[in-house]
Amino acid sequence: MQKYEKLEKIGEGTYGTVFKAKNKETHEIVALKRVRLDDDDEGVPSSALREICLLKELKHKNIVRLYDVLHSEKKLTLVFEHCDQDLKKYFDSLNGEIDLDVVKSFMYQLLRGLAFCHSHNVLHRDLKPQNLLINKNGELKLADFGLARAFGIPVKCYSAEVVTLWYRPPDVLFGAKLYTTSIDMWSAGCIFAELANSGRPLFPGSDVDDQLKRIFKLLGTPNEDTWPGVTQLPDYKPLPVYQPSLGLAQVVPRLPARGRDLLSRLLTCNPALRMPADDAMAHAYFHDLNPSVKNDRC
Amino acid sequence: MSTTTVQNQTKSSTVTPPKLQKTYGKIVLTLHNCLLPDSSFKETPSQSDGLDIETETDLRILGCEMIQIAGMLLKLPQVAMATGQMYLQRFYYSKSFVRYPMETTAMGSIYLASKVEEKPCRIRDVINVFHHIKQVRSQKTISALVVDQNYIELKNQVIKAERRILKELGFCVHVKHPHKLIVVYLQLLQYEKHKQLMQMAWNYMNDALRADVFMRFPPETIACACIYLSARKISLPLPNNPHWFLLFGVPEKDVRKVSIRILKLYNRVKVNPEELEIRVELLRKVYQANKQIQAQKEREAKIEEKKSDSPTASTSKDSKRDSKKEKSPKTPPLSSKYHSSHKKRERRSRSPYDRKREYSSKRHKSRSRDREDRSRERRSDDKRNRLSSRKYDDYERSKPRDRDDKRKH
Repeated sequence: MQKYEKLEKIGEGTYGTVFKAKNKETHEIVALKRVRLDDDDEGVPSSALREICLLKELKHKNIVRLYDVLHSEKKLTLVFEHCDQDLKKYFDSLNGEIDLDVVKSFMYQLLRGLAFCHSHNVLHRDLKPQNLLINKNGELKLADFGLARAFGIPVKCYSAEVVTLWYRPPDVLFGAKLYTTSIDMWSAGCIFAELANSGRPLFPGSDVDDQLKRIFKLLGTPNEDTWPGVTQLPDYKPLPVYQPSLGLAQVVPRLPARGRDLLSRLLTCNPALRMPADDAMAHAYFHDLNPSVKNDRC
Repeated sequence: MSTTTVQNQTKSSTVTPPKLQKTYGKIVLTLHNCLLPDSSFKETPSQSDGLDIETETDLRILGCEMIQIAGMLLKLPQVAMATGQMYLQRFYYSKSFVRYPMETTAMGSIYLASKVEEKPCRIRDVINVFHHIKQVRSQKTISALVVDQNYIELKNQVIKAERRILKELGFCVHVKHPHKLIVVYLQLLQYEKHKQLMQMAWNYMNDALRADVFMRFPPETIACACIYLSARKISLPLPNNPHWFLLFGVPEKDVRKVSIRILKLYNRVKVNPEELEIRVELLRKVYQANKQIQAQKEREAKIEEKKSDSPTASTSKDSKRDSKKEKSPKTPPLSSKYHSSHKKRERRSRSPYDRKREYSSKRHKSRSRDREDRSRERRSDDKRNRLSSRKYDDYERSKPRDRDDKRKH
C-alpha cells in the first residue's frame, strides 16, 4: 500500500470505494478499488472474486487492466488502470449533439472489447454507460466485471438476475437461464442507440413489464413464428400485440442507414438471431471508420 | 494449457510492493486447469513437516470426502463439490497439513467453490453441515451446534481459510472439469444414449477428484481415462484402430497412467479420521515446539549479540536445540489454543498402547455403517466396492488379532 499515494475518491463501486492514486515510484495514475473484508460477514464478496479471476485473464486495449491485487489482513485492494471518466459522465459533459465519428469509434471499440471477452469465454453481463470508461485519448474500455462470468460449453443455467433493467434483453426479461454471448450484444445495441442520441437511454423502463412493453412497441411483440420457443420461457407472459413499427429512423434520427441496419441486427428479440460481436465489427457501418481506430490493436 | 505453478501464483498476491509488478507480468493465468510440475509431488509441504505420504494421501481423501458429503447435504451442484475438492488438493501442494488444519481448509474450499459456481451458501450452513458429518461419523447423538464463542472463532477461521486458499491459488479459481468433456466425447463416439456408460464414467470422474490426477493431467486425459475404465468394466468395445482417444489428442500412455492412479484409490483401506488427526496433531506439536524454540533461539541470539558473542555460545545453543527437538513430541503443546481444543484426546492417550486399543474397538462399532456409506457412495460399481471393503475387512480383522497374540505372549 505504501507504494501508492491516494489522491481522491472517485466513487463507490459495487463492493467498495474507488480511489484515484499515484504510484510513488513510476508516478503512474491508477484506480484503487478497495474491498472491505473486516466487517464483511461472508468472506470475499463474489463480485470481487469474479472481477479478479476474470480480469486477470483479459488483457486487451478495450478492457480495463487489472494491474495487481494487494492482499492484507483487513482488506483487498485491486489496482486498476485509471481512466478519466465513464460514458455516463461523458454524456453529461456533452454540449449539444455528439460527433457521429465519435459514436462510430466508441461503438467499434465496445464491440472489439466484447469480441475479445467472448472469444475468451467470458460474459460481461452488466454492460451500461457507467461501466464503459473513456480516457483522454478517446479510448473506450469495458470495466466492472463484478457480474461477469466464465462460460463453458455446453452452457448451463445462470442467474436471471443480471444486467441493469434498461439494458436487459427480452429473453432474460422472460426469465431465460440459458443465455450466451447474445446477452451482451443486446446491451451493446441499447448503448449504440444511446450513443447516437447523445446519451438519451433507448428503453428506460420502470419495471420488467414496462421494459418489455417499451421494447415490443418498437420492435413488435414476438410470437412463436418470429422467435420459436418464446412462449416456453420460464417467465413468459402474453403482452399486448404491437406491430413492428420499423421506426428506427425516428428513434435514432442522426444515425445513417448502415448504422440503423447494424442497430436492428443487435436489437433482435430472438437471441439466436442476434448478431455476434465479431460479425458486428465487420458490418458495413464501420467501412469508413477512421483507420487509426481500426488498426489500433492491443 | 498453463504451466504456471501454484508457487508462482502465490507471488502475485503477496504484499511486498516493489517486486510485485514484475512477478505479476510473468504470471500466465488461464481459465484452464493449472498443472503442477513433477517436483511439486516429490516433496510436498506436509512431507517437509514430517508427515508421511500415506497419511497425507489419507488426509486428502478424507478432506475430499467431507467436501463431497457436505456439498450433497447443502444441495450444491456437483460442479461445486468438484471445484471445492480441487481447491483442497491444490492448496496442500503449497501449504502443509501440519500447519493448516484440513477441516477448516475443507470448509473454506466448499464455501469458496459455492460462490464461484454461482450457488452461494452461507458459512453458517457449511459449519453446521460439517458439525453434523462429524457427529454421524463418530456415532454421537445428533445435537445442534451451539452458537458460542467457539462458533464465532470457527467462522473467522473459515473466512481466513477462504482468503488463504485464494492467495495460494493466485485467485485462479475457475476449474475446467472433465464432466462436460465426458458428455461431449460420448456424443462424438455416439454413445451419449448409453446411460450406464455415461453414469459410470461420471462416477469414476467424481472419485478421481480424490486422487492427484487433476494436478498432473489435463481434463481431456482424465475424461478419456474415465470413459476407458467404464468401457472396460462393462466390456464395451470402443474403436481401437486407431484408439478412439487419439481423436481427442490424448496419448495411450497417459490414459493408462491416469487409469492406474484412479484404480489405486479403490485398493486403499478406509480412512480412519481419528487416527489421522492424532498423527497430524503430534506433528503439529512438534512444529509448534520448534517454532517456540526458534523464537527462543532468536531471542537468545539477540541478547547474545548485545552481550558481545563468545565462540562457545553458538555450539551450546545448537546442542540444546537438538535435544529439545527429540523430546518435543511428548512435551505438552506450548500454544494453549491447540491444547484446549484437544483436551479430550489428551486425556485418552495415557499410553500409546491404550490409545490404539480404544480406537480399534471404536472402529469395530462403526465398521458396518462405514461400509454402508461407502456402498451408497459408489453405487456405480458393486464389484469394485466389495473388493475394497473386503480388503478393508481383512485389514480390520488382522489388526486386533495381532494385538491379542501379543497380549498372550
